[in-house]
Amino acid sequence: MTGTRRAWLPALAAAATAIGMVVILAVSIGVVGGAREDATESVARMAAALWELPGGGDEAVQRFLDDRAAIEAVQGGEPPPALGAYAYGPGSLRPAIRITVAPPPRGAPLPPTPTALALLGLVLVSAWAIARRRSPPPHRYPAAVALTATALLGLVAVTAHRWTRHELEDLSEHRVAHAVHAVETAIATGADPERAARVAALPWATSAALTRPEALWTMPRAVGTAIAANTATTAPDPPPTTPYTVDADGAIYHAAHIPTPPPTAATVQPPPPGLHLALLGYQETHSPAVPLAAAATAAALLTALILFLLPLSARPPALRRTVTAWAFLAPAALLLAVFTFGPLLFSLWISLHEWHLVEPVHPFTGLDNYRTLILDADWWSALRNTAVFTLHVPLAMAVALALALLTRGSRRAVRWARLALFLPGITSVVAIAVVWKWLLNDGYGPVNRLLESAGLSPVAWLTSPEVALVTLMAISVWMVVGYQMVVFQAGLAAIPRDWYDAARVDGAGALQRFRHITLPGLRHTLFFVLVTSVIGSFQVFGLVYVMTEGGPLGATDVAVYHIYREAWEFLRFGNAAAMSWILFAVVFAATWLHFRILEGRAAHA
Amino acid sequence: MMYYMLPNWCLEGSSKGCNGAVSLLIGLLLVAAGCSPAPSDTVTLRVALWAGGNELEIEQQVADRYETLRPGTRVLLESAPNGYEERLLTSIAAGRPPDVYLLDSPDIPTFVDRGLAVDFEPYQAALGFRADSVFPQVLDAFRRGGSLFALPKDFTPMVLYANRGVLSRAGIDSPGLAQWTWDDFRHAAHAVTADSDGDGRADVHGFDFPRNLYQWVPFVWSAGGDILSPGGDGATGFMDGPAALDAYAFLTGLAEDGLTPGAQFVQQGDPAREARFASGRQAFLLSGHWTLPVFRDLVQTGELDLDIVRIPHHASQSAATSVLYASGWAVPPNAPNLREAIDLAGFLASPEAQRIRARSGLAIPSRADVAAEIAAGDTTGVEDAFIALVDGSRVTWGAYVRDFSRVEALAVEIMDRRLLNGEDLAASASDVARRVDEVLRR
Repeated sequence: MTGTRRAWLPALAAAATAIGMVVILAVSIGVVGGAREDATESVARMAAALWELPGGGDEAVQRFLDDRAAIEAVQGGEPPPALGAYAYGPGSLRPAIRITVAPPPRGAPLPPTPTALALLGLVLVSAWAIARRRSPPPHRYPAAVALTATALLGLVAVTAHRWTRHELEDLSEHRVAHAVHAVETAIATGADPERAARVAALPWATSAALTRPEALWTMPRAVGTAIAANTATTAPDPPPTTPYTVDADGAIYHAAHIPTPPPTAATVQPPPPGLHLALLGYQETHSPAVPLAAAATAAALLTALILFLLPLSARPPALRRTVTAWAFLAPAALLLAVFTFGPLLFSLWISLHEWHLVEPVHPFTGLDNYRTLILDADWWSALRNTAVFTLHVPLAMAVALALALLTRGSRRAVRWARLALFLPGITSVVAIAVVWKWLLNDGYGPVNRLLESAGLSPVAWLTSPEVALVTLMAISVWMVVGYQMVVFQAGLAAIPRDWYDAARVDGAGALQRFRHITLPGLRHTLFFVLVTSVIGSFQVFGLVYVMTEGGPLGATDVAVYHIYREAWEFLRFGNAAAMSWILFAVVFAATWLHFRILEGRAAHA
Repeated sequence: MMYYMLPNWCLEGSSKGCNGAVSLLIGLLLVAAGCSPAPSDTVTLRVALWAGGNELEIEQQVADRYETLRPGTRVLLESAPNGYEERLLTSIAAGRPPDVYLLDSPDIPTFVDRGLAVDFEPYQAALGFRADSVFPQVLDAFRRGGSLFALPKDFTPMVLYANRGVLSRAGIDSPGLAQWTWDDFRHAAHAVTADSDGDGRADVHGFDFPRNLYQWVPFVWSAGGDILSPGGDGATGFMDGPAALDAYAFLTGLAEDGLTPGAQFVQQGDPAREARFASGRQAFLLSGHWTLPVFRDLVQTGELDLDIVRIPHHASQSAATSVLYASGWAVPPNAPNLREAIDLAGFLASPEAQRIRARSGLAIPSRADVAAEIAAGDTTGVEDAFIALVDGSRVTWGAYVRDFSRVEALAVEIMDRRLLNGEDLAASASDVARRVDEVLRR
């Protein structure tokens, strides 16, 4: 029985490795296939746009397209073309013809490079060396095989990536050439070149004529500058079509300069002296690196997992227990991976890019976003405000502990008091913030009215930079003490009554009992409340969002609110993600320090 | 299979409960069957907008009308009164854009410059859209060169609402639509500011402090200055220029002299300003047409004697310039049903739709002829006054400058620093202008 198990587990690992390789290749081929279909559809769209331009028509389209295209009359109720487009008469909303294009032929597979061959040889030699060991230690054997499988998968992924990139670059060049050709055809038919460029290249052209000042806004400034500089080197007499590549801000753009012909009778407005097209490259938008790396990692993990189980196969009960445990854990682990670790890693990825939600390219910027933050005084101010805000935690804990001690009885009044104290903790933060905002309003707030009726000066609770953060801290204390009080009461209930009785017999006073019994007995509870409260205070958002919006003069601009504005108001997601990771590091460090200092001290107590 | 779907207590013999459970299950299945997707020959067009309450009901009437005109089309209004831009950007990024979306003037660069709006210029004839019938300032906001990236829906200039009751009690006449200077305005504000209940504190004020850039930029323009260079690529020399400094000094002076209630140092502004104005405790209110429905009932019952007034100008200028905000219907290039979406956008901007929409009274229809019709039917004269003020208005910088929200966020500091920390206006304006330059350079 055991022998059988030992036989099928390596086979399973080999199968997992093989499946991993197939997945990697499928991803690679899928990326190329998808880009090829995309390019084909783009060609059809360009042709349809040409047909639509004033002066255009099926002849112009036919000239533009090669023999892989088909122009058909529109049939009533036909479904949208998978690889094609409908063409419309100039200004019409009803389709006139359908243009379909056959996908471009597949390129020749890339031959393996000497480096890849050498690596493959190394992997095979390693595998052979491992196989020759007649009595491998049981724990090393799976690890060695797992490493070999991982290396093999990585090698396949790198080779597949290389091939995919080559194919995509090839497609990209063809696509740019088609776009340039489309614009030339459109100009030849007398259309306005700027409009021709835009219509022909939608949705993936970022700009048309750079000669117009407003068009400079339509692409990253660095790209516009680079293209302008590139064009200047070819002026004053550029060749008819000069596609070239601009590498700016970490993204690759393809661009072209097209001289326009003299104005014809059909041209309504005189065209600009030259037409510049900037087309997005595929290297960034269709990069296969992420799916390939994900496929390779997943396959390697699967292989490693199976091989991890291999030694356990000698002990069937242990294997059964492990497999059963993992089976129970799997759904939760999957949820955690998809909805927690996945977004975490994605935000790390975003923080290394210049990221806008709807920009088609996200240039890799390395650590630039982090570097920017070092010099960003507003961000440091937000972090400082967050740290100050966190100072309310010890105060809240002290109040909560006092309340927990005072409300331990079961009398009706005490029960009502506990309920009243607990209510803010279960009330919506927004509702609380709205009510407090009204109560503390400078002009009509009841709190200031009360102060005035008592002969005191009104206080600018939320409109003074010196007071606003303190006000939020006080409200936060009021909000959290109820919850903390309940936790402390649970902790107090766990302290044996005998200890207090013994202390009383020994003559200990109330303060001594509190210091020597209650506090040590609540050690773990205090630690739990402190850590969770500090983490919670670092994440404060609702109060600030509703009550002060970070004001006045940024006095209550805390980290999470700052991140929110950076992402959703200023649309700088790369910066916001970098801020999130810095905040994570700060919270992590604070928690680690708590563990080191408080728990360590407690362990030695 | 049904056996396995039933709970244990049902299998254990509680026949009444069991029958109930089976009935419930069958009912749910039937409901689920009834909720199956619409037939495939029906085209569903999703429209993103920020309407709420009565406005949304009226937009639904417009959508219903379109469905009647285009059988086989279903219009689904997806409204997000709060967080509209977040939701719209997310839907586009997720590859599920709406077919038509409402584009606000400050968001134009964000969407148009990124290629997220179709050029309507080729379809104007097919849609029956007449550019010459639209207020030119509104149309220009959505134009880039010869292209038109949204079909204008409606708009409003920022104006001053005047409470004639408060003014007359102080012996001041409302200036109406006549041009008036900052000195005139200050005199009126000073005259109305009073302590009516004798508690030692003024409880009637002339104005409320315009803290945000969209509120105070008309004062800079009306002093002959601007906040950005003509190309919109720099702030130094403009945001901290002499005219801008005059405007800051004038506005902060109103606050420092107690002619405004305490400033609210939050973006949303003072939530009580409209109530204060309507209840006779504030003489002037700076706002757009969107505030008008709040006052309409009070005007009709005679509880509020309302007038629409120009923003005052600096003594060195002959006329004031206000700011104008507009919205329009745009279509993303990757709309699921592009042509149908363009057709729908055309209808949403049509005179018929604008007439239906005008019932909400939130804004001025973008078509001059429809706006004139609405004004002709208005007995209060308020609509006429709004239209008269359009000529002296220009579109917000936000319609042309990307990342303008960042500029707005920084600009707030200029007067805040004076009022909160007593800083010199020139120094804070210069510092903010330098930081705005950095933002615009990025």
